[in-house]
Amino acid sequence: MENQADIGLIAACQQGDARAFRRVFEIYRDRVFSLCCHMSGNEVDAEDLAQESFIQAFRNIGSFRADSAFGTWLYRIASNRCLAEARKRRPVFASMEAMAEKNVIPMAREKNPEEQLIHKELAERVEEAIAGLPEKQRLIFVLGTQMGMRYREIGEILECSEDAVKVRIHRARKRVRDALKPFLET
Amino acid sequence: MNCFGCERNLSSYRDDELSVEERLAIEAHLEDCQSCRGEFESHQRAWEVAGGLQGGTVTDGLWRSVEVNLEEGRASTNLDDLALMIKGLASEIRDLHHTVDDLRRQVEQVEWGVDEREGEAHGRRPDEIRVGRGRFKAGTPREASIEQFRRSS
Repeated sequence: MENQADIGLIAACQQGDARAFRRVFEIYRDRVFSLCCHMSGNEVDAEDLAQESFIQAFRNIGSFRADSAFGTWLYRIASNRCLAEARKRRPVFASMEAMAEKNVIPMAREKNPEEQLIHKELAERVEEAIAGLPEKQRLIFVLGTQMGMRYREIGEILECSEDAVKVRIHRARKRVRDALKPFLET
Repeated sequence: MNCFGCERNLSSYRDDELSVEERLAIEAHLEDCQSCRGEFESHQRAWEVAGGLQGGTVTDGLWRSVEVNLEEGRASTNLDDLALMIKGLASEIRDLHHTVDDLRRQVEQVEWGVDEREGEAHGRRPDEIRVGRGRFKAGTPREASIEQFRRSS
């Protein structure tokens, strides 16, 4: 939820204050980039998507009417951008080695070499399973599981009820789990 | 709670999106039902791995590219505005030009009319007419003007 500082910042952005744009970017960049990265599967595409999302948001900030939190409005823009891109092509995931080197899988660092290997393989399967989801299911999976958003916020972003989020998120997770089942049982 | 109710609420349970009563009911069922417990554990493992996959690192260049794009957007908007303004001014100048031409024609018509009437009233010949303050004699208009210019200088 927005606090007063956010509301003041957004008002400054609406007046065209360049420093306010920078501040808003700094507040939301990691989350927006993370969403784009999970949806596209790699940092190169994620950077383009995040850039386009921020530009679209800043150019249209005058139309933001504070009916919802600014973050929700911004994530909705980013989500729609990611969905549009996902409709064009399946995500292209960076190699797990490259991701591990970039400290993208912190859990793997704490385990012994054998466990790390198993974890890496499992992570690869998870990425494959997520990539195999239809784009809308992938988005809800990313928002709920990887970004840890509350169902109410997801509902506002996707413009659906909390009950619908509850059903859809479980369906998406079940699909990922089922794709991993043979691997999880070994 | 039965197995069906438990299974469909596992995600909400894991995300802490259930009421206290629902939560307690799920926990009681998981305690008793080995099958649902196994189901929950397999979900849990997949979600942990998926949740642990972080979304990369933002590069310093991201803000710069956003900023450049916004500046370009602003610049192109200003140029568009300027182009529109110039078109508007050009159109106004054209209108003014037409108005001035019309007024000049009307003034000339009025002066010609007055001169002709004055000439007739004072017994002048119709070809002995005024243009502005000067008077010139008959002849081809160009020659008359040159002759008038010579005399006045």
